[in-house]
Amino acid sequence: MENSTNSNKSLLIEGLWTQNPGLVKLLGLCPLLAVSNSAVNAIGLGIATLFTLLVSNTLVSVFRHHIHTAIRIPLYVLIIATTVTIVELLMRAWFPGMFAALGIFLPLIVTNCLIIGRAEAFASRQSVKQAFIDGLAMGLGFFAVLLILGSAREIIGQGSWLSNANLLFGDLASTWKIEFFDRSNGVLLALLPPGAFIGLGLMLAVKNAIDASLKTKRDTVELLNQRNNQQANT
Amino acid sequence: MSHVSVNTALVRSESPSVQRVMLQVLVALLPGIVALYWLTGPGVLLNVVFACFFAVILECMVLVVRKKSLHGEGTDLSIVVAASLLALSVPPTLPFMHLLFGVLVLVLLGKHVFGGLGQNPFNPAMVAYAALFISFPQSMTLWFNPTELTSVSLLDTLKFKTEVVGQTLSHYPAWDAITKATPLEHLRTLKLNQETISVELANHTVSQAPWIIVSACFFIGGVYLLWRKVIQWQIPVTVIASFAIVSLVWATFGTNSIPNIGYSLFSGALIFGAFFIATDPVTAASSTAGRIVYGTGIGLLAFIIRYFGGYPDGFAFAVLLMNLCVPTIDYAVLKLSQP
Amino acid sequence: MSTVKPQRSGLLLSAAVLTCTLLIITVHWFSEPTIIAAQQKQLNELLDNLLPAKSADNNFKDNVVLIESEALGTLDAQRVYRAELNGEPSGAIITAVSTMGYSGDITLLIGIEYNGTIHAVRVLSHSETPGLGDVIETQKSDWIFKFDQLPTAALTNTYWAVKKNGGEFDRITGATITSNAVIKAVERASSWYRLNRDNLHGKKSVKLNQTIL
Repeated sequence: MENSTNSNKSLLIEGLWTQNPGLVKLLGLCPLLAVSNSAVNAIGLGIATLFTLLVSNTLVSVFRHHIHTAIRIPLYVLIIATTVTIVELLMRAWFPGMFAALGIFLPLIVTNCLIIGRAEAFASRQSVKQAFIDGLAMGLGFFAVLLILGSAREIIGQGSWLSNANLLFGDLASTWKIEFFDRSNGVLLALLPPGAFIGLGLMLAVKNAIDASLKTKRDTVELLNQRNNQQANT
Repeated sequence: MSHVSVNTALVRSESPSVQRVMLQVLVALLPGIVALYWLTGPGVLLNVVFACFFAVILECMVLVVRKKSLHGEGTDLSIVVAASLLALSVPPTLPFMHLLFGVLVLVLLGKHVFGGLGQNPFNPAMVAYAALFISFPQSMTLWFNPTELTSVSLLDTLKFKTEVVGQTLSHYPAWDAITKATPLEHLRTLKLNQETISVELANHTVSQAPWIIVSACFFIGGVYLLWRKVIQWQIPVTVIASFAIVSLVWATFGTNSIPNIGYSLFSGALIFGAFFIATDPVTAASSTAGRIVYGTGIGLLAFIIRYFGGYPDGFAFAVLLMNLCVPTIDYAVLKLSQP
Repeated sequence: MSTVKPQRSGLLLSAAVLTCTLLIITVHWFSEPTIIAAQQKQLNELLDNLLPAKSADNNFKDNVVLIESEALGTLDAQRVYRAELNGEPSGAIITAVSTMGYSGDITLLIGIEYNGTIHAVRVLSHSETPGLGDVIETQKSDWIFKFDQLPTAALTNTYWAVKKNGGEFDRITGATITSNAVIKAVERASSWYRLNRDNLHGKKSVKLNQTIL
């Protein structure tokens, strides 16, 4: 399984790129696709997921020596459900508009397989510090995919970015909205569910293309090095 | 997915014949284009020219980016046929910007995302049509009133198609007066207002005759394709037959909410779609039995979506849904034929 | 891990359940007043826009009757909020349903003054086609504001239709069905109110469990 000497940097790179939950592991796609219809919704769900992941990873790691294998899954579920319920209550009280916008997908963070997956595969066998950083990295990776997809869909679909920011950041933020073109010119497809699937598919394609071109470059460099070494030997 | 590789082989090895087939499809479209021009004015010609022009440019650009020869797919006319089919499906009033979006979807998401000609599971023209319909429902449901034709000149149409993007029609009162819902949309309104359709039809408030002529012209083109053996009879016959049978059954036993069978068959995109859209060799089922299942499915789905769905005509969605079933149909036919 | 005894696991699990429950109870306890206040605020914002300012001095959000009438579009009980000023009836907010939309029901909130003048109409829920019928929402178009200040008592039947069908309303481009559905629902509800207003304001109010519509 995971190497115990993961450096912080490599953990971050894994969460944000090589093992990205949204683009590589394809975990938690249901909320990712459903809520990414505007940048602000995406940020709201992204923060809630990131917070839950941080808390559950840290707690699981703290108690990892005391948890018997037989009861580990109920305990993880308990920790995750408690965290999500608390997030839900706090959001209902202080961000009611955001709560209404996220709807069922906020309580459904409980069932996001990303969170229990990291608890089981990583946090239960790593130090608290490493588990915390892994939670941060994976959460940020998920957050980034949500934000990019949400922004793209909002810009293409309704010609604006960060609309309704006041739901999340208070009344001062209602001026943050950037309008590129009039709402009636928007490509409605981007806002509707098929737009989420097409958008995520295109993001996957772009990531794979970047990886492929990086690999070609790396291979070429390696090949040149090998040749140089051979020449040096002979 | 064996049919895909078979089709690909066919397409690749006989590129000149692909070109000849495509040319015949274009010829078969001509009567329909003339009829639409007569009915709705110069908008349809502008659509065809514009869509083909940009589709070819875009196709060449994509082929260059994908480092492919311009001589296979670039010159076999398949993209011209796909663009023409899209241009004939959309309203003649459609703004150029929206048509450009449709062509982008057709070439990129309909075709090249899957690997180019022969690899696409969905009919590219219908992918583009569905994307347009969902994205710009207002401009996709706006047709000229056939009886007001005299006032629609080429220059007016050009002006409308470049200026109207994103404006509501209330800014264009002159245009609001001469645009009108198609007969199908009109019927839909009546049904929901709980008036009886037969009375309405008897009063001739919906001018249906011009649309019958358009459908008849596409029918002639379809017969030409059958005669030249470009398409096989199974798909068009089963599409039309299954649609007619359910219409008949429903009109006899169901509630009195759908029009008579002649009206049903010759309105909307049914005839055009049965001969020109559903028969696309790449995305249709490949065996005889498979084609019968495929065509019947399209006819049934088109009926259901048209009379019970959220949009006035559902032919595009019916074709896309059956495209999705093609691998299963082909697999089932293969399994059943060799026990 | 194998060194941990099963009995200890059971205790640990119980302790964890207890801790988590206590934690949630605590958070619930200190966030509940804010949640209720936030819900109330949302409801107030919605309802306050539907009647003229200072037209009611009673707590009309709690002065509710449930009405079962075909005039409100459905035989399910619909809420009617009754406003009073100085002890006299001054208006009402009516929830009404239209079943004649393009797809599914359209639920409306209609604010109407006692003399039959509509103050405002808002859409509570609908499933009209995106891009066509959904412009009945206030954030997508100002079409629904056409009902503001409409003196329904002075209008004839022919007024209530889109211009294309001989009425006085602009239609939503490409969504004649949706426009007509909303117009007809408002017409029926407002004429129902004018016929039944005295009876309505005399009824005893009901206590509702939910604060949100």
